[in-house]
Amino acid sequence: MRVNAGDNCLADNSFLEMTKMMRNKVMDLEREISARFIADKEVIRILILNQMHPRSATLIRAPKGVGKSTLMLLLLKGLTGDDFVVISGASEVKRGEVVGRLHIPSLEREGVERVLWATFVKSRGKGIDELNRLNPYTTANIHHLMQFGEVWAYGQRARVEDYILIANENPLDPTSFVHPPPLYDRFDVCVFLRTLTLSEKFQLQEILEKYNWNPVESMPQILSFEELQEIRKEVVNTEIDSELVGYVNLLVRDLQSCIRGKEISEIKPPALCEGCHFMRDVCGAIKEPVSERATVALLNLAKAFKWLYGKCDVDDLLQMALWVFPHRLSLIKTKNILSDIRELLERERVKMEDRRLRRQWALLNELMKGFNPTVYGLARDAAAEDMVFAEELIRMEEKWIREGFLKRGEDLATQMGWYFHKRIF
Amino acid sequence: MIDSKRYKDFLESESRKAPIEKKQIDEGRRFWVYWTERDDKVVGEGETRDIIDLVYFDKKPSKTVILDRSTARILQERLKGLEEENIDLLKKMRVMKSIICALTLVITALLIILFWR
Repeated sequence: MRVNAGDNCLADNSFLEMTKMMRNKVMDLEREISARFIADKEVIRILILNQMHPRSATLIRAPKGVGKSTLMLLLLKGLTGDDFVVISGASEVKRGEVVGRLHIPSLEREGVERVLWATFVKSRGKGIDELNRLNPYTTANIHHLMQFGEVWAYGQRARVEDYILIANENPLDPTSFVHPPPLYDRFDVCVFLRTLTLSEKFQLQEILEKYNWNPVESMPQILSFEELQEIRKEVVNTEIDSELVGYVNLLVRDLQSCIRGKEISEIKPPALCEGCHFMRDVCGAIKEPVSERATVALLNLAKAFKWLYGKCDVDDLLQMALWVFPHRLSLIKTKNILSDIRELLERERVKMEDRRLRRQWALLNELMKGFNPTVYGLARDAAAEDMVFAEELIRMEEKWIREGFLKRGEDLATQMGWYFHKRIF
Repeated sequence: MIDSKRYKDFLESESRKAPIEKKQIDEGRRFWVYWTERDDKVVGEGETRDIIDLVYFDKKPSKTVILDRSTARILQERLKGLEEENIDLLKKMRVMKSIICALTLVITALLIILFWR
């Protein structure tokens, strides 16, 4: 079949028009939510950006009465209309209501175990109110759903289609269950809400009066789920440059690496850090490192940001990272998790700049092309200041030892006693 | 292990942003590696990255202070000199303390003898 260039051009134009229209709708969603809910713009923006990849999971944390549930409902309604189900940890939730129950007539008449899958499984929008109060059995089922995209009941399995999952919790609630960290890790982002300032209280009263004391009821559905899925497809296919991917990986690696292998060590920081060469580094402030899911979440956000605003730079990335780490990081001393992470991210910004000043990546790039003693000497100096860089250099040293450029004992790993990979495996 | 293409691209793009210069110094493979800094993004007003300015000209430190090899050597030498001076003074102090003790004993003995008579 011959394809006309004019037809291609028309197809491209209509695709661009479609993308533009979708972007406008996403902007409309942000506007509609902002018109009904008072929160930092950054919070609403990140919540929307996080819905732009398949099987999105969002956690809202806030003290009581700040509007966690309202925000959750506004978002669910704006994206799924009425096709959403909210289960509440505050009420008695049974497995049958979340996953599925047995169809008794089929069992009685035909002796066949037929499962009636719960609406929560089938609906596109899934809301969990007061996740911290949800019993561990129900939570385990939701955990499985988020992990494998399926649910099991009575030996039968049901695949769960693409969805939006939004949960909220008040971690200070005394009647909380302690859920396992891997469950929280499956939430892409965790946003925090705060109480309102004086002027915001006036605004809230005006909003409530305007929307007849029920802002959720008037919330229109801005996007159909099919449109959202189309956006998700486009976002997944959005290309982000290798520089930004590099910074995402670097940022996450900085929050993971430890020359003493804290991820498998029985002794945890700060005890583990005593006498460590990198004691004053960012790693010294982290008790439990973040998982690789943080990288995926941050990349998804970067793609969504680029799709929506046309660009995404390192500053945007650091701003979004604030919401990717709070539920994944365990710090040695936590006064206020958001301020603590902001401080860590600020240190990261400086660290990235120092790396540039030390020309670390240029040195590593040069060494990738081949071993050179002069460049290697400079790279060793840089490695003493940066653990992530040291890891990469040590990995290359192994190769140079095999190739005869270096002798065992002359390498950084032996001289400094840094055996990153060998310690674990 | 094969390095990913994206990793190589990342190193390439970072190298372009902050390059190093090479200068051949002989016929062989030896060369100088150097770089110059045109802009310093994290230095605030009245702050400095230079350790010498910081120590001798009483400037405020920026968030990071960069120390090149030659400055580090100067500081190393200076610290070594101060340490040696410290040890010397400590020795002198010990000798002086002994002399003071001995003199105190002699004076006390003389006073006792004087008043005993």
